[in-house]
Amino acid sequence: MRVTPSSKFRRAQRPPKNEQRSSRLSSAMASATVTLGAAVALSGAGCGKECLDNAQFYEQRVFTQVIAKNCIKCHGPEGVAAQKNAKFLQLSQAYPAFQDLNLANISEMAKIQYDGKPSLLVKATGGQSHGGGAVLSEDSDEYKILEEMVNRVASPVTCDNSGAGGVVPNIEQLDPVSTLRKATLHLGGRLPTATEEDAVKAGGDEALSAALDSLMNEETFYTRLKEIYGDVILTGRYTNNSLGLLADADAPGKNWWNPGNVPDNMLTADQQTSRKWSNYGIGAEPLELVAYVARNNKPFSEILTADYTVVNYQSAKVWGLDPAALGLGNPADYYSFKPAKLSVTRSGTPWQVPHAGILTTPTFLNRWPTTGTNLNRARARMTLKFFLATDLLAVAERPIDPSSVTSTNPTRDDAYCTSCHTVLDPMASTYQKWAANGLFQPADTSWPVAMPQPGFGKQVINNVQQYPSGLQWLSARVTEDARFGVSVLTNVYRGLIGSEPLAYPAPEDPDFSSKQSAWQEQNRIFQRILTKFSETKNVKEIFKGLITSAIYRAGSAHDLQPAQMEGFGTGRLLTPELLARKLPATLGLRWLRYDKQDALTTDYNLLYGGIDFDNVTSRLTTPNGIIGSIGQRMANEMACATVAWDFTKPVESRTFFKFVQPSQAPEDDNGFVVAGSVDNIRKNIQFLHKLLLGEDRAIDDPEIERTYKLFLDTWRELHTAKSTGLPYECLGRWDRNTGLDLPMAQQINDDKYYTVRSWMAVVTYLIIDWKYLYE
Amino acid sequence: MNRRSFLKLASVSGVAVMTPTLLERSAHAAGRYPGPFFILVHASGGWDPTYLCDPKGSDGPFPVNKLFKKADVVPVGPFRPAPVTYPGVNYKAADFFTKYQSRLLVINGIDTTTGNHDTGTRVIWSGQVAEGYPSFAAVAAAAKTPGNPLGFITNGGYEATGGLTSLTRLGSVDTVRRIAYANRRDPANAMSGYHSDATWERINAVQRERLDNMRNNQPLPRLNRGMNALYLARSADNDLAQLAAALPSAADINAATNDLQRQAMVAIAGFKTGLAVAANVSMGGFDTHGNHDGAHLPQMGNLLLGVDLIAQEVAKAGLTDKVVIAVGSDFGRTPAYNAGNGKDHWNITSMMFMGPGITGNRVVGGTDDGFKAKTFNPATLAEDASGVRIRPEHIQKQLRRLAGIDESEPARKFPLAASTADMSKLFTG
Repeated sequence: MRVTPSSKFRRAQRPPKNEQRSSRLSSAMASATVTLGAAVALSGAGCGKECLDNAQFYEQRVFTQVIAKNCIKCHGPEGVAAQKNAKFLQLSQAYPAFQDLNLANISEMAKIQYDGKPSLLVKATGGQSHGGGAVLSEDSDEYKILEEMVNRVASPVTCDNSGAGGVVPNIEQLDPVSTLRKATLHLGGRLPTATEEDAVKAGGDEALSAALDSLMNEETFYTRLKEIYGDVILTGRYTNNSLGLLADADAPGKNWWNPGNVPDNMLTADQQTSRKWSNYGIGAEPLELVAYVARNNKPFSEILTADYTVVNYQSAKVWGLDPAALGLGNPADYYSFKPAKLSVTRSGTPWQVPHAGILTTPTFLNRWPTTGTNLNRARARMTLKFFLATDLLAVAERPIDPSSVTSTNPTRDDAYCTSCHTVLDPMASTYQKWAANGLFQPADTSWPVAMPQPGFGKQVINNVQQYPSGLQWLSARVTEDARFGVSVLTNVYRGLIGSEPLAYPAPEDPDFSSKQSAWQEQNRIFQRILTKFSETKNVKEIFKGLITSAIYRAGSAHDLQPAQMEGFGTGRLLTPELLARKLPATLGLRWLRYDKQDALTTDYNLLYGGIDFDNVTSRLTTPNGIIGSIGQRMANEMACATVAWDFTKPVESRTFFKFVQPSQAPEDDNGFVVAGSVDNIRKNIQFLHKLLLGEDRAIDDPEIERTYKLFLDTWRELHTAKSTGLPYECLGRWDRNTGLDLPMAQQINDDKYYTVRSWMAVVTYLIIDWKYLYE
Repeated sequence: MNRRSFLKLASVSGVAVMTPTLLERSAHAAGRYPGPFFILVHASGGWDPTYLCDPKGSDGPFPVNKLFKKADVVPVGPFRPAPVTYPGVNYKAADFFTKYQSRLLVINGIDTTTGNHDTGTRVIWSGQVAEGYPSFAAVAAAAKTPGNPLGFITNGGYEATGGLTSLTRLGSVDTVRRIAYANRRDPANAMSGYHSDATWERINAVQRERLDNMRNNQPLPRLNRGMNALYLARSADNDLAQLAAALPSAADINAATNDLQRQAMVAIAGFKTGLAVAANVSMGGFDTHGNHDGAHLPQMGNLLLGVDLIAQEVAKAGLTDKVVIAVGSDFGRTPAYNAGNGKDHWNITSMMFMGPGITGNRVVGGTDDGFKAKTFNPATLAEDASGVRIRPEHIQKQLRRLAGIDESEPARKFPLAASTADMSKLFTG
């Protein structure tokens, strides 16, 4: 049966209408949503050519034409109005879920009357002592839009958009089996088993969901999760050199692996191993905590709220703890981490460390240190960025004019500075008992009095006795904030999809309408995922939600503008780590350098777009000439190492060549086609397309023909030249995994049928393919 | 890939591609970009110009520099080098200014308007505070050699490309050689192919056909962009081999004593082959919130020595009249010391330039005794109370002009503030 590539795709199901909006904000938005009687308002403005419900009207008219241009500068959370406790608060697109929150707020505000007129309109025209004066004139289009918004709150407009197109129905999505392959390679570093594929083929999306649940219990998933969060918090800088961060008094076993204090060059191999994994235990503590929380299906908020840290056998000893008492019996189980609570002594007084998940780990605190003037603001800014999806620099670009700054404490008093600092400084104060080197200093009183009380938003810690546990207080509030879930979603999105989520388009963008509809589709998907996450609190819901969405599964589309399709499809350049795992998953062999480490994550890491968590902290997502060439070198080396070796194995044990023998040439010496051989060669090419690229192609598919022609032309070239020599490095002489010689009878030391190198060409060709290097 | 097919591809890809001028087109078509080239030296963390080219001394309204008095400053032509010998490298600021006096332009009193590292780095090298603006290096690479993946070589600093071009980070030269000759088992042996040359060519040709077919049938922009990007990246095969052949040996690089020099040696190889247009080189260690004099001065010495060595490497390659060297930092450091003898972030800074098109032996701009920026007449560059502060966008605007790319499509795509007064004499005097 011919199976076309498009059979992997299927039309997306439009989500049920009642799922298209966030339930998270449902109570806040209740006033802005449907009442049947409002149908009479359909004839009102905004419903001439196209019916816009209240949410759409807000998004497409009010926000873009009124709020973004006139209001947000002062009524954003960092603006002058907000600082004077204005109730009218509008968020810019830098805030997650800003449209929903804005609509809820403006809907509430629209109900307030002043002298019989809506206060919102009175203030906009300068009345009611509006701090910003007259912003709109009553005869302006902008005023009329705002007026209509106020009217719509009183008489909500709803539209029957059930027949409307939208974007998702025009997206062709990968079928469940293809989705499983893609996800299994990414999260499991392996191919799906035949049993898994059969189950998903039979059970569809439901079986896919179950398969993903199972996949996310595998160790490689946790490795990937650590990589994703490692890219965010960048503590990898200390993975191999973290012991130096610790104070001797706090870590009495810091040098437990070297009791004799011998020089480095006299350390035994065991001692070096113990040192290495001690460093890892401390350095990877925040990321292993993330993995621990996920592995145990705990609420993901525990990555910040855990009142414990995690240790492996070696780091337990560093902290002076008994590994066995913590359930860490096997020193060689390096990646086994268990919870532990630490204590320190300050001026003779013992203190329990007030653990606050990642925030109080030595590596996080050292990676994001405080300084005498920075005063923990960098730590606060990173807390916002990593765990609240809020980039304060993007929220408020801050050109400052130093000559205009007159206050002795401008970050507290001057409007140029306070827009960010009112958000930042109270959070910074919650870090005040944690020194630049990450040490817990509960009795330290050097925190400047000019800094505000520890706090978050409008909440503050009033009790000074609570200051040492300020980060526990902060963590609880951060994780209760709606933006925490958005941060998890955004972080996972970047890891899975390899790019940033779509940003809300600028109102003046010529493609505004198309981009906005793409953003709205993305937002609908995000809200569904976040609703589920808010119920289970499990990070795996975020992965599953994204993987099963059109964002991840989109493979093609029709009848859409490019801007409408922008957010769909995963075509990411694999990271060095992902590609290093894909190689053994598909070829049965790792690409190693001299010391048996993966070449991609060592020699080629930065060149292939990877990061070192220190100087290079952002991954390249677009290949350059170097990356292209590394892919070629990798393909050549791997084809060289695997092809002849694979032919030395019995057919049933082979990775590549299940249907063909090296003696099967496409033509005889007289140039006549050997039909049986050609059939087998084509069949094997078909198998390789499936194995390496995930393509289900018919035997007469043009792509199979293209690959066959490559094989044939290469074979003819070698046959004509009577060239039978195999490069030494490519001989089938060794077991490539053990390095040991194969029995003589099993070895392949030449290419007398010209097929080994022809297959090398095919394997190289497939490994440098976009579908192999991208995902 | 020829220019025609490149532009055709570009028209359907997300990679912004610009039409170079006639002169540039002929140069690029000939396979070698002839210059000018640009080395952008970034002192990461925020340097202190008062210990380099804008000294104040300890006897002003308050002690800006603890190590010398105002009267200790001995001018070198128009320059006022800080009267210090940088510890560690035993290098005098005055020696640098004397050596490069005739070619050197110093711009003092530049107002970055920020004390934020990310923003400062961005505004200095792009001319804009707003996020997403490409580095001058990216604009130059895209304008001079569109679609050339090796146009912008970087070792840190400000790396944003704005999607105009790709950037390349180069590491070990041995590794570069291995990947430059992807079909050689031994990079030094042309006869050591994994595949015969004909087979290797065939594999790549068939791959191009397949990729062409895929991208022509892929409507999703994200996937289509990825396919196009891979296609473009592979067009650099031969370029990489040329670069590898021009690279200094590992021994030569290891023999270099200064990190900036090492970075520049690779960049200069890129210039010599006409492949690279611009290169970022960078050095950290300037964010000295504590023990400023003890920690900052050795780094300043390393930096200045590094710039000196870069200029020597450029001369050795015979490119002195083709390479513009620009030196800058995130921002400056506070006039006063803090309680820990450190200096914090200050929005006023300096930059230094030398190279073709730059009239040397000049200082433009300036600051008062409290290290606040003075104002200048944009047309005459004379001090003028009703003038304007020199800002990074003034400099970037003129740098684009100097490079001959101010009217290019990449530059137009990322315009600098329209209201920026045109300091047309900034580089030329």
